Amino acid sequence: MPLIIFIIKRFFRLILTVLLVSTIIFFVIRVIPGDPAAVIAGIDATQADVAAIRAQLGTDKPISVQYIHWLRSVALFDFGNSMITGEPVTKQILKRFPITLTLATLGILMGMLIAIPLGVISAVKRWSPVDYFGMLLSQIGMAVPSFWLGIILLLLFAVKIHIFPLFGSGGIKYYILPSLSLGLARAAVILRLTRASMVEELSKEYIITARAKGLTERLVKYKHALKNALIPVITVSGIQFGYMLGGAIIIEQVFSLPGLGRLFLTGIYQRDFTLIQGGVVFIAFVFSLINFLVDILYSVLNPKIRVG
Amino acid sequence: MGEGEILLHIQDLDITFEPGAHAVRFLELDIRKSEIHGLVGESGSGKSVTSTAVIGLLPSPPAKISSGKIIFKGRDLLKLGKEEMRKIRGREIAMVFQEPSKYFNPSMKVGEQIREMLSLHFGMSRKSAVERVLELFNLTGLGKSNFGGGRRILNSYPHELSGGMKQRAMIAMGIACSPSLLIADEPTTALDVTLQMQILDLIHDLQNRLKMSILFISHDLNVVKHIANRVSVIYAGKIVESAAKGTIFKNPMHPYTKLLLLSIPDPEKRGTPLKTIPGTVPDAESIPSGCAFHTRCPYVRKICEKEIPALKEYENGHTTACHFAGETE
Amino acid sequence: MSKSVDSALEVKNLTKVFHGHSFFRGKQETSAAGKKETGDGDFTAVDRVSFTVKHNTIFGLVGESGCGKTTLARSILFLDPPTSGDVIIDGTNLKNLTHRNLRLFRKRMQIIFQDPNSALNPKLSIKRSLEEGLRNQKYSSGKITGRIDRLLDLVGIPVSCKNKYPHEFSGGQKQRMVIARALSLEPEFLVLDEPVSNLDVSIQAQIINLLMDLKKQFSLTYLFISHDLNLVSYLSDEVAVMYRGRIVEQGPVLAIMENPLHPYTKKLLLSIPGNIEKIKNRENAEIFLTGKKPGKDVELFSLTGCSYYNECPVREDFCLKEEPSLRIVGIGHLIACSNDKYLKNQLLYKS
Repeated sequence: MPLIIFIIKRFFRLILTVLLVSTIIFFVIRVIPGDPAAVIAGIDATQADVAAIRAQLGTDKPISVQYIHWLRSVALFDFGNSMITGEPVTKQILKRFPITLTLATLGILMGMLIAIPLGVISAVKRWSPVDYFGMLLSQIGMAVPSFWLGIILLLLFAVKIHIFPLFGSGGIKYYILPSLSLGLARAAVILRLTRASMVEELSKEYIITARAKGLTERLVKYKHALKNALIPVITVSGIQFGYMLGGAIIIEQVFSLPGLGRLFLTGIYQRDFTLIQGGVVFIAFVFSLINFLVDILYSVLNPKIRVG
Repeated sequence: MGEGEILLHIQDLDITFEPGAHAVRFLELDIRKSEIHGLVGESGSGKSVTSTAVIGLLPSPPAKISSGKIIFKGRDLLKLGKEEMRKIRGREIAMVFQEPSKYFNPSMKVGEQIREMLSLHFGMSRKSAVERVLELFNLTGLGKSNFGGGRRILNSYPHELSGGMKQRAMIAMGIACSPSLLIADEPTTALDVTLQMQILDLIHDLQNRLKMSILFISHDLNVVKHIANRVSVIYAGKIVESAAKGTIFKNPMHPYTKLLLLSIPDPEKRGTPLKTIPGTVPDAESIPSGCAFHTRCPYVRKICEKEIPALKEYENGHTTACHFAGETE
Repeated sequence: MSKSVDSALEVKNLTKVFHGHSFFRGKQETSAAGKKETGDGDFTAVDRVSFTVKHNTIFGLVGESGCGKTTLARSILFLDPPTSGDVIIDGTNLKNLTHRNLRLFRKRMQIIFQDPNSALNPKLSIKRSLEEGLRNQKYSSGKITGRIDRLLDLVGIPVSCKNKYPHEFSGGQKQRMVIARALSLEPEFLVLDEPVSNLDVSIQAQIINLLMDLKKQFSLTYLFISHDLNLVSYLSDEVAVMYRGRIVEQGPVLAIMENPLHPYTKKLLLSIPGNIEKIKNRENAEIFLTGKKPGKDVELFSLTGCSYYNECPVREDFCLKEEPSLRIVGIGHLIACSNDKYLKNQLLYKS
């Protein structure tokens, strides 16, 4: 199948996913007990107050009308106003998103930059000191929770030695420590995967062919094996990236970064239904988008996937 | 011994695998210039280990070449350095494998997989290398329009080609640098019978045109009979018989060869039970003493259990390793 | 229930279609040789196949990978029930059996596959493997031991090995065990799907001899499936050649061997290394091996007539009009080819 048709097909899948998530979140919010209007109005409110809020929210209309209204707002990317602050939800999300995007991008980049070269070297030189070092690192990375690592990093590089700021947001230097603590945990996973994947590729028959052709070891390993070995690594890294974009709640908390995670956390505390609703759809959208991009990248790397 | 200049001379080649598998035992094999030499053996007989040793790709460890020489064009391949051996691979000695779907890199275009070796061995420019690849496709019948033409194959990924086309492309890759020796390891075993015939004819035709030597490894006596000029039979890591095709199929001397030939089902022998060789093929970890075939041989005598028979010449170019060769009729 | 019937197995118009867009997509044969699309991605793996196997005979089914022979075998045993058509074993139409009765009936028909490794549970010793089947048949434990010893003896495995596990045996011995297990249920009818294709040449002959012995000893009936026409003709009484889900030629083994008529059968025969050297009129023969009649090929999905059209050296335009059905050209000799002129020539040439 040509790449363009593959892309179009996957794009429809993306739209479908977002539509499905929107529908589910719409109904879930209406099924869970408790009337948002009553929550907003507070305990002392009169029936009239509640009714007024209901009218304002649109929850007094029949469910079908509400649903269509909701879908339209999803399509227009306009999730209404926050129930608490009255600010447009979309605006709030977009204001916070760059912070999370920066954090996640730097996080995954650091993770991949550490993990992939180390994983490849570990695979090529199996049971060498580099390999043991890599395995040790990935063990630690998997065992240590990233918030703890974050705190340690803060203590070391912000309190003891003042290289990086303690908290807040601003220039790139505010992101180094949080993305490092986020990235190291990913690096552990990606490193193991890279090593395993590279080891597997190197044991495949086409490697024998490559050697039998008289190719140099460098070509055999880095032209033939590496590309195939990276296929699963790219996929997993992409999905990890998608997760991080949904907001790294704990890390944002530790480093006091006003990212998406913290926005949604506040939303949940305050029962800000419109914010939660919009947030979930937004995360679903971003996640599907990343998946979509990973799929395309994957199919460029691995022409076989386009068949099915 | 026989006619024709010797291209590859394997002498006393002995290969063990850790721990304790004796895969190839003091093997002797001569491949002459411009011949198709069929090497027949059952699974685990050491035929692939031998060819892998020739091309210098035995993984070591676990493999260990404890003795022997592999003389190719006057040089002992076992004494060459890594880099010298690499330059011979693909250029002087090339290989065609059994399952083309596994032995091609799945994510690289077929044309590129052939082109890269031309650029590497001959320093050809990209453009002239691509021209050469197209020429190779024409030679292997892939240039024909019913395959979509050579240009289409050039830019195809392996999975986009059918099994037969892939094997043709694999052969194109094997002959790319006009090697003097092509090792074909069961090149038609994974193919359907009707395709097998086409590929055999192709190999035959290419040998005629390019005059290279081919070491054709197979478990199938019928296939070898169809394609080879000379045939060697390997059993438990040792050549037990070697002769010109006409001789070995008409007048086999080693009991193993004899019985193997009789065990092939032939429609003309309907109704009579097949001749069988009792027992199983010994595995490399427990090779019987003396003549390795003595545990299954119907003509076994005392000496067979103790002494390993040497490969001796009986008639012109017909060698066999049996204590009683010529006596057992 | 059944009176003595002449045929052990009767297959009538058996068709098996895999539905392409189904969620639970069946295992498909994707080889180019086997593709037969019928719109909507449906795939007809076996197309209106009919044949009869007489008691105590061997019926050989030959075809290349993807021709539908394994699907046919599975359909016959109702492991994968056919989409349409009938399978009649000893006068009983399997279609009419309830699940329970079908299960009981299955004892009478066993199948042996190419790969003994996937047929044997690696965690069970030989003894346990055999016990299972025997227990289901309500043998008493005292009798079971004797029966196992006898079965192992029959297939040539030393009884002293019965506590060993499959991995301790070679490929040939494992196939012997699979045969012993199949026999433990005392079947009358065995489907053998490439039973020796994975084995070494010297072991193949042992297993074939064993199968022939057992057939004689227990008056068994075999459906023997293989890609190897030489082997099939060596042991079968009747042979059918399958191409793209259909039987293109069928008949007594001598008729097929000595007077093959369908161009595809000819090609198969000539493809066996060594066969072409035996033929006197070589040039004439080579047409069937490599020749292809000039003319335009038809895209597979729009191919309406003979499914061999694209490869046929004797094709004519009318071959595309309708799919040829099997017709009689000799005693028990059937062929699916519409080219009368070609057939007449072939028959004249022979007589």
